Amino acid sequence: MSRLGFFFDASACSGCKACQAACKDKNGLEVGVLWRRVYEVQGGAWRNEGGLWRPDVFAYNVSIACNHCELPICRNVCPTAAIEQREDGIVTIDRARCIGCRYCEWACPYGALQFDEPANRMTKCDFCADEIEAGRPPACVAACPMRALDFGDIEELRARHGATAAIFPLPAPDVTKPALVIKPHRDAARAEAEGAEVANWEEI
Amino acid sequence: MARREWPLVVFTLLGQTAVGAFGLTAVPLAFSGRSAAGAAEAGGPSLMFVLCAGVAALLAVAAVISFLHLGRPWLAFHAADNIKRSWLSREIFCLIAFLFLAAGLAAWLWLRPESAARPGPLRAAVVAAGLSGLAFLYSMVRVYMLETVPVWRNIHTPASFLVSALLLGSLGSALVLSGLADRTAQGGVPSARYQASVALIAAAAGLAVTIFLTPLAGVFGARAATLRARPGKGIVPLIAVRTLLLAGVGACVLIHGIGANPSAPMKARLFLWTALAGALAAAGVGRWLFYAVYDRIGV
Ligand code: SF4
Ligand code: SF4
Repeated sequence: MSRLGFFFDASACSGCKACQAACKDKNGLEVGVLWRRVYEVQGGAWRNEGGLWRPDVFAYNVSIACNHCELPICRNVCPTAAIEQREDGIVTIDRARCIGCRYCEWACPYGALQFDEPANRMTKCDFCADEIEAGRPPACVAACPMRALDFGDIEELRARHGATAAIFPLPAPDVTKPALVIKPHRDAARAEAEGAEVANWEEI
Repeated sequence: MARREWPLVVFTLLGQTAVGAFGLTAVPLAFSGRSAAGAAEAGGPSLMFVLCAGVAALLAVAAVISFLHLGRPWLAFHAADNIKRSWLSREIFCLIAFLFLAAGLAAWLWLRPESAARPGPLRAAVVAAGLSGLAFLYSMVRVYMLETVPVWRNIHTPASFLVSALLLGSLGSALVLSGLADRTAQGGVPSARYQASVALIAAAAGLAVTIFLTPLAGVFGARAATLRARPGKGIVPLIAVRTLLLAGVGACVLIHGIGANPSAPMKARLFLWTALAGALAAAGVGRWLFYAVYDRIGV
């Protein structure tokens, strides 16, 4: 069976966060719970060129949900076996089993696990499995005005867009093997080399 | 984040104390030959009983406190469901095994004190409990050695957990020994000097672990994986506090020994209580720091 994955085009994303909002809306998420998050990467500084100070800055955005990884570390660490992976790759949390220990949250390097305080349990992106089953795209993909997000069979996405699965500040893909394809922003390598900042930790 | 994790601070320290006390005292006691001395005719509970009951009580309290860290504790019976993959499940499983073995041993010695005179079965049971305790400590270490959390996935985690087990275990059981020596069937077995030496070595090892291995701030400590983890300004003062506390514990043990002076048991006990209080404070500060430096790769 083919496995589902996300595509994200960092060169096209404008940082409008329509994906994030559509996800919250579709899933009725609590305040502070974001199944999809947009990280604002910023870097650079003023540069002195022959006595003249010139701004030399860059910025781009990274929209990330759960990557329904091939090696889901969240599933491997969860003590109650509440996290499972379906045949199509979608990683789910069984609400009836989660004890709210938050161990999976420590482990996932994508910040995909989001604790629902009022319900006292962990939640995360389920790839809009209901939409997929109804033949429609996930809410985030449908909402993106820049067509920076897409989804589909991960092998087809890789064939179409290449195998890049990381961009600063995401981790190296060998840890969890995310079902994710990224078209990098032109300044991604520079961000990595210069240790750019994520500018919006407060809101994600 | 560390503030939220206080139940885990208490849970890990109680668990480590239990493993240390059992391994350092109950196991040698079972093999000392003297444990066979009949408790019944002396009219008091055997030292082995007191140790097993104490360890079981510590573990039970630890288990209850760990519930406070759960969002939905009423589902906690699921916590050992992923033994196949999860070290956290294995930790819980080993905790339950250790708790039941220690409590079972205590119950056995209480109901049939004369069975302590048969060293064979007693030794087998004590070794089984000791092994489950070791497995508990090992899985507790592995729980934190997450591939995605480099500040925990290094030598500091096993070293600091082992130091806590040895320090708190030796001081805790030394107190039990000194407090009960006159009331139990066996005197100060194993010797107080042995407990003191272990505590002294553990305090010295703790100093080295703190100064050299504390993540983000120790001389050879793990460095941050992300820009997000800026060593808070609070880390260095806390390291200083922990260092002073451990040095104080070492000094207490060194100056007085542990109950080394039988002519002044009250004074010895006072030093022992002071040492244990210092060791608990040092371990608490250390574990607090441990959770405070949490930093994973990625976002
Ligand atoms: S992104 Fe995180 S939560 Fe999603 S499958 Fe991978 S490890 Fe699990
Ligand atoms: S918070 Fe829930 S889903 Fe996450 S590890 Fe704990 S039990 Fe599993």
